[in-house]
Amino acid sequence: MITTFIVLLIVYITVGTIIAIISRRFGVKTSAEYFVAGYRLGGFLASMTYAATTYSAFMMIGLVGYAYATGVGALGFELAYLLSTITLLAILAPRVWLMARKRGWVSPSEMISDLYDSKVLGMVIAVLYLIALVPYISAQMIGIGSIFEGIGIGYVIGIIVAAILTFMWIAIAGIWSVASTDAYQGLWMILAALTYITWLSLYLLPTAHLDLNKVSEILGRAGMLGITKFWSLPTFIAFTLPWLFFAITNPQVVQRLYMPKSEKSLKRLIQYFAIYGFIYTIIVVFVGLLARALSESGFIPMITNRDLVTPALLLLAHPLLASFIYVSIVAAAVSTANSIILSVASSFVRDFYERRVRMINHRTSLLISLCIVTSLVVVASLVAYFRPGFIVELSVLSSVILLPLAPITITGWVFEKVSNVKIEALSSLLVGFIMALSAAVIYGPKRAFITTWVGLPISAWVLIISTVILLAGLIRSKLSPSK
Amino acid sequence: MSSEHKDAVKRAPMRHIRYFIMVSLIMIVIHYLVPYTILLNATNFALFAYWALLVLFWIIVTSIIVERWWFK
Repeated sequence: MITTFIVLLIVYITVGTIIAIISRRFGVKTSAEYFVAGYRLGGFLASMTYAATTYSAFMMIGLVGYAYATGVGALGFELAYLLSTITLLAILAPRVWLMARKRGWVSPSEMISDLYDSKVLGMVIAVLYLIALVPYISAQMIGIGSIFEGIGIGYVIGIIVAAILTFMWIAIAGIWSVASTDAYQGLWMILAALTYITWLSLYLLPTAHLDLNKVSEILGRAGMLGITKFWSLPTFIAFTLPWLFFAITNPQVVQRLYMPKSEKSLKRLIQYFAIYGFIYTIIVVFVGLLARALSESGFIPMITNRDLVTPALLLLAHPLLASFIYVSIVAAAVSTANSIILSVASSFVRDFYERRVRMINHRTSLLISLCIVTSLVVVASLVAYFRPGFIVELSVLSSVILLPLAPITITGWVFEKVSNVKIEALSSLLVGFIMALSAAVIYGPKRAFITTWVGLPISAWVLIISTVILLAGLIRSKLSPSK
Repeated sequence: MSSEHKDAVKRAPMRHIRYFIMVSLIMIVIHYLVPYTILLNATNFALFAYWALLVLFWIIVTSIIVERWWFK
């Protein structure tokens, strides 16, 4: 198994690196080219980088486990994200795409800063990204380290491989190498998922003397096909709410809306991503449910740690198949981690350097970018290496911490001229952020995620309070129009 | 700025946007409502099929709308 995995990993890394090196021919001279591909990404690349960035190692490990442990509700949770994302993109993406070109946006924090005409707001958001997303990047590296540990290669080697890959595929050509390797990794991920479900359905189920009817009967009897106790309505809302707004709060996906080269490419981004997301989600949840049926039928023992469902199933697979799927999880983690790092770096380069100097020296910009990318990779790797409980758990809460960005982003995109509510926008952001972080400190990040106040999850309160503060500002600005 | 982009700037990002927003909200509401009322205790793949078909339907509708109503 170890040898097969290493061979496949070397193939994956070699092909990815060749693709990254080829992508250098697109040329990177300015920060706009380094971070948003000079607004000239084709439809296929745009959609695949969006998909590979969105779908992390969580899918094959976390979501399979949730489906196994909590039933069909896991599908509703993940599809709520997809439903909301394609809706938001259909409504807002063309506006954002046009505005990004017109106003020359490169980073998402710069976008808010520009819409509200507040440099402070841009800098605060850049710091907010750092606090919310470094734990999330570390979680991806921990995922890779755990796979290496499980296979027997060692956790630390996994972290080192993750760090080198993440850094290398950014450093080669910025977003060009990230997007092209994302496309390659996205294909690897979906192929692995298709192979996984095919193996389960055509080999493992017949071996266990099960067919779809029996699976339905077994799962129905176990109560896994309805709404289980875990998915009470407040929990379902707590899980889904931050994800409903993921497409507008997370910088790595917002930034991808600037990049398509034409209307047609932008359309393909949404259409291909939707199809990809749908197929990937259905397969992943179905794998979890089939694994549960295998446990209920006694073919495999019950798995108490839900994160170990995929590893337990892959013990039964041919080493080549298991390695193929494990490498797909590495790919999912790397494609998410390097996209986030590049996006966070763009915020610092734009809001702390380029927008504060009179003449931009592009060589200096690219040098600063590389320094920030290096620092982020090192910090995330160190956090992954030491695995400090609170920081690692905080990754669960990253989407809630970024949630206060939803009202100010939507308002900015819709009204465009919102500089008269910059104070309220900043207050709305800070109050929401402090609420989320306080809840994490008081309850612990994992409990804070599902704790309810007056029947509503904390994420709902964060969103309500942030929206009310911003709304108050909008009403004030209407009542007292600017001179 | 490309000529295609210049053309796009002159046009509205999306036609019939209000209708689309209304229907979108209905879709999101029924994504939550039906499972927690009608399909709460499903004992077959009905709930799985419901969520999957609802989202698949919305993907198809949105793809057509994006193709026909954007930048017109």
